[in-house]
Amino acid sequence: MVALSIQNYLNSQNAYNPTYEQYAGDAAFLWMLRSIAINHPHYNASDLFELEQRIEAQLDGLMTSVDIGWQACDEALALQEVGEVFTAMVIAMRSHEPRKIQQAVEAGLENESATPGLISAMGWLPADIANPWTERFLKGKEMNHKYLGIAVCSVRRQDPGEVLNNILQRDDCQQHEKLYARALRLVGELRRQDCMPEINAAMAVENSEIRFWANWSAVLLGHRTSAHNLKEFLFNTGPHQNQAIQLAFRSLPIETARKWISKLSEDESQVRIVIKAAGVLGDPHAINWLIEKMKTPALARLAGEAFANITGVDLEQNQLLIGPADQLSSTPDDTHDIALDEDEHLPCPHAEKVMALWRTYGQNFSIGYRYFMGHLIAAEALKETLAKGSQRQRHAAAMELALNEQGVPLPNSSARVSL
Amino acid sequence: MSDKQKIYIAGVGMITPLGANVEMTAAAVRAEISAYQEIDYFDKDYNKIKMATVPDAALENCLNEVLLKGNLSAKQARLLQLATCALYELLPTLSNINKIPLFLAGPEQINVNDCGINKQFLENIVGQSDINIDLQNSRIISTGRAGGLNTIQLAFRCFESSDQDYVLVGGVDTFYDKAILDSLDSADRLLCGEAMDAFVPGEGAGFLLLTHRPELAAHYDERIVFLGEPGNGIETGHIMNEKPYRGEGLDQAFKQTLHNYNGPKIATIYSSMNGENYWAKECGVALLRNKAHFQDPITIEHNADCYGDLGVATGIVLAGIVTEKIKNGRSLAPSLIYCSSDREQRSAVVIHHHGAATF
Repeated sequence: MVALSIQNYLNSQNAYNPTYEQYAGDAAFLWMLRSIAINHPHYNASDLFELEQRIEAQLDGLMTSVDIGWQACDEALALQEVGEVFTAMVIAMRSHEPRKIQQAVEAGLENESATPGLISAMGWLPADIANPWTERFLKGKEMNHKYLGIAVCSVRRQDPGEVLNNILQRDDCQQHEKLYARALRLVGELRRQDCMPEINAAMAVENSEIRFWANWSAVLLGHRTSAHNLKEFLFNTGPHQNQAIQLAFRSLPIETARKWISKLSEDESQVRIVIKAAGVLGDPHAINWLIEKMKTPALARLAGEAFANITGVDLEQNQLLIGPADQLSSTPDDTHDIALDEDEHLPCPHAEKVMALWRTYGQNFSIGYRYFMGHLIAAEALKETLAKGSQRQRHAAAMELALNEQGVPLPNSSARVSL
Repeated sequence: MSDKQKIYIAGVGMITPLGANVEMTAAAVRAEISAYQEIDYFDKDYNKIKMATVPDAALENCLNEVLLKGNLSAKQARLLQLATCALYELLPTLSNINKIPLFLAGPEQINVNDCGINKQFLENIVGQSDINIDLQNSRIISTGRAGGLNTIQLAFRCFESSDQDYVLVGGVDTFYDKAILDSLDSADRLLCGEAMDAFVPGEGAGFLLLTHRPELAAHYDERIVFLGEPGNGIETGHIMNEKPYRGEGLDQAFKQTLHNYNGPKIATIYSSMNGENYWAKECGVALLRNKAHFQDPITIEHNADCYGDLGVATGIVLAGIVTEKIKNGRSLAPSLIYCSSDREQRSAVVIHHHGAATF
């Protein structure tokens, strides 16, 4: 019998197991890197695209032999980590094998911190693969599956139609806090005006998570007075504080917003929040104060970001940065917090140089108006920033666009980039 | 370039340190996977060297010893295993072809007398694979890395002078041989310890099923991949001698293959560069002197980063990988592949898909 046979061929493929393990590990790691990069100030859409190409290359590698690839994913699933769940879910979905999909879904739902991997995988895949399963999840009896379906609609900005009303009205769905909250959030993201009665009902609920998303969506649906209801989230440190700032200071009347900022600044521990709020509001009234804050090493970068968001001045391009030696003093004390530093990768401004620039060009800005990236809020400039800005600027532009354009879904600035 | 100056790729087969077929290899290269690993060979300073090898398990059971002819050296057995495994992918197509000539490039003889490939080697391939190879019209060459692309040139001559519909070309090489490693070690060319100007030896085999009739290649993919006629050059100041190295050999090869080419500008160059500084100069010279044919900026790929130096298998494996990229729509602009031997031979070829370039 000759040596060449299909069985021998398959055996020879099995010899490359370590390569598949490397694909699985690298895909998970790169996904994790991307999940951090979507909020980094030094990443833009084209940087994200490059990173996504690297992730796709690992996933394609796993697909060159589905069985060996799945074996590597299956072993990695035991870790129940979010990146590994993402990888396994993509491979399972691309294999079209229900048993593998079930396995990945179960692993992703078992550990709450790994569930974003499932949702992200469904957002990653092309519509023809993801949609049939999204529908199945939405129609399923299991509440966690419904949650998954709604979350997928959220990341894909896909309208589930009547199913959304149904979920918002059903008692059993309302009992599932995560599902109810995500459904309420989806109403705002899709700008579903027909769901306003359900939003009104949710605003009266005691659960703060539910109340937050109901008010958040109400503002996006055009009910700007609901921004006042975000005050409790904005003034207290908590999981929704940043989201509340990003929405409230873009929708409140400018005078009210200023009052809120003044009130916030009474609490010295909230100084970073005040800087962020000033940047979001975009009123040049705050510029001198922001430049003053640039003199404090721990606040300089954040103040520089707020300044750049209002004026559109690129600190690096205009050589308004302090030298690397002077930056040492602003390095955070590494003995306390090991969380990622949100100021990392932000340029460190030189207060005097920025002040000199502002003295020259500040007259072009009118106090009492909202500016974003050097322009009064206008759709064209926002679209430009959404396409070309850094990630944080893209998030801001997306929110401004949704608030200023009727009926358009809130653009998902964290979605997979298609250049 | 007329239709006679093109040949079409009707199938690809390969085995490399990164995969048992073209799909696996191309995906691993794209994912920037490295097959480099330390092996149990110590250089003269007692450092372990790095090498990229095909996993032993991939080569197991691919030889039926009962069918072997003659006594094979360890190196010949390894080469035969590599060649046989690389043919797996082509088996369904090849089993329907009667009497196909095989042009096979074997290892360059670098301070080693026997390249390991001979007539008996071809007979053993036939015996192991049951492929109906026309042994009488088959040829073996051992011109080093350029050899793989040289076999494509032999295919052109074969189609011109016969009524063959198909020709099988290939390259097989391994540095996994003590005599060769010793000779490279004595020349300080192996990557180990603190060496910077050195390379990682690899091993592999690749085959291309070629035809001059586009309709016969159509079954392989809707984008019919074709090769222009390769160009050759001679570099008198090669790495094995002391003569002045001017980079003219590769320039000649580029000029020859680009002479009849008037399609879109070349977007990517696939090179046999393996990490040794020596190879950069000729690439620079050839690029500068032929820049009218290249996009600016041009992408230069050197896949030895991932699977090591495949020696004579380089050219065929690169052509297979580009074919796979074209099939997947990842390389729709024309590319140029070139290979430089340790000795004087240089060879280059344009690869593109049907309908987009004008020859």
